[in-house]
This record gives sequence, structure tokens and C-alpha cells, in this order.
Amino acid sequence: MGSRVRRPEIDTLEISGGDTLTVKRYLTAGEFRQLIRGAIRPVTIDAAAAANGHGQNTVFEIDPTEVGLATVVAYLLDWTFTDFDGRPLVIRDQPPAVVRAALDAIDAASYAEVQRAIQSHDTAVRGFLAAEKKAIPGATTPEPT
Amino acid sequence: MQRGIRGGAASIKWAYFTAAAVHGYMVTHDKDVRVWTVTGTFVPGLVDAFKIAQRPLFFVAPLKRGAWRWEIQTLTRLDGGRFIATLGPMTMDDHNGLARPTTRN
Repeated sequence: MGSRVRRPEIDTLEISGGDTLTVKRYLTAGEFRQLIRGAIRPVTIDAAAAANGHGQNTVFEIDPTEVGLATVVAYLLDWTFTDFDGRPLVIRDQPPAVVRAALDAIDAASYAEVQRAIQSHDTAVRGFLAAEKKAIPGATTPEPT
Repeated sequence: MQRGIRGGAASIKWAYFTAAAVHGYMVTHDKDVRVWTVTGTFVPGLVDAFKIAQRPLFFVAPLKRGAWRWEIQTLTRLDGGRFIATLGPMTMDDHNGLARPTTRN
């Protein structure tokens, strides 16, 4: 059986204006869980409390406004973006909070372009992994939803 | 002759992953035998057992604009969350992601 661990590899995505994004090729299981954690929000439902008399119920739901950002933060390692004085906007090796702050600081059109590029990369990688899994004898693949 | 670089936050990297966060380190360079050595302390709870076992690992000390980076040749974990490592030649990362050798070797 082959290795279940992938070597960390990077890809460079070209976007408009000659800028590039450096991204992880794959996410690990831990990074995938972190992505999910970043995209959910707790929702407290009072109606359930009234129905069962056990206080408030908290459930978690996907926050559609955070899914894209969580995906970007999961994959993005570096970029060539600069500030208005031409100094690099540093995100390399920075904690997720700093990366999120930088993503919040760029203009909306640029953010949308970054998110589109990274989501396309994510889609391509998932397609590759699904095709790879099909080639493994005995591997189970999830039913399409 | 030995020279030293003392610092606070640093990290041990495996590719783009942080294998361990370091708080408090001392890098020494013996110019006579051209050997770099680092001693430091891991941040409790921020040592990834899988990633720290991979190779190659790099010791990365951030600067205001970039970072110093050395490939770790040997890594020994000591009591109390401390470690000692022998290092290869120093390179310098700038904020454009470029690594270049320095004249400090």
C-alpha cells in the first residue's frame, strides 16, 4: 500500500497584474479540520429550549460568508502583493490572524480574485485526488450528493 | 572564535509547516571550525511530533524584514523542553521569499 502522507508541495497561481499566489498543493487532515472549524458558527436555538425544557440548544452551521475565507487561509502561503508604498504585504510564516487581517485589508475586487483562484485550485486538487482514489483497488469513494 | 545571536521567538520548519515553535534561543558560530549551533526552548504544546521527525528541518529566526535560516543537521531534545542542534550554513530570507547566502559563514 502506498503512503498516506503527502510531501508538502507548493503551487504558484498567477492572477491579474502579474501577481502570484503561493499555495499548498494539498491540505492535511488537520488543515482540513481547521478549514471546517473556520467555516462554522455556533447558533443558539431558543425554540428547542422551550420544547424540551433543558435550556438552550447550541448547534453549528456552515457560515457561507466564512467558507471562502477559511479555504483561502487554509491554502495561502504567500503572495506578491504590496502596499501603496510598494512594500511587501507580509503574510509568509505569519499566524492565521495576520493572514486574515491582510486579506481583510486588500480591496474587495482583489480579495474576490484571490478567493476565485484558490477555490479553482481546491476544485482541481479534489478532482485529482478523486481520480487517484478511483485507481486504487478496493478504495471507497463517497457517493455524489 | 565564537560569536552568538540571541533571540526570542523562532521556529523549526519542515517545508512550509511549523514543526515546533521556539521561545528563547542562542545561535553560536565557531568561525575556526565553521560550525553553527543553536540551543533553545520549545514552546510547550507547539511541537508537532510527526513534523519534527521529518527531514530536512530548518531553524528560522525572524528579523524585522525577513529571516535567518539554517538547515538543521542534527537535533537533540534535552530535558525541560530544551534542544540543541547543529546547523548548516546560514541563508537569509527576504520578504519576497528569496533565500540568499550570507557572508557570515
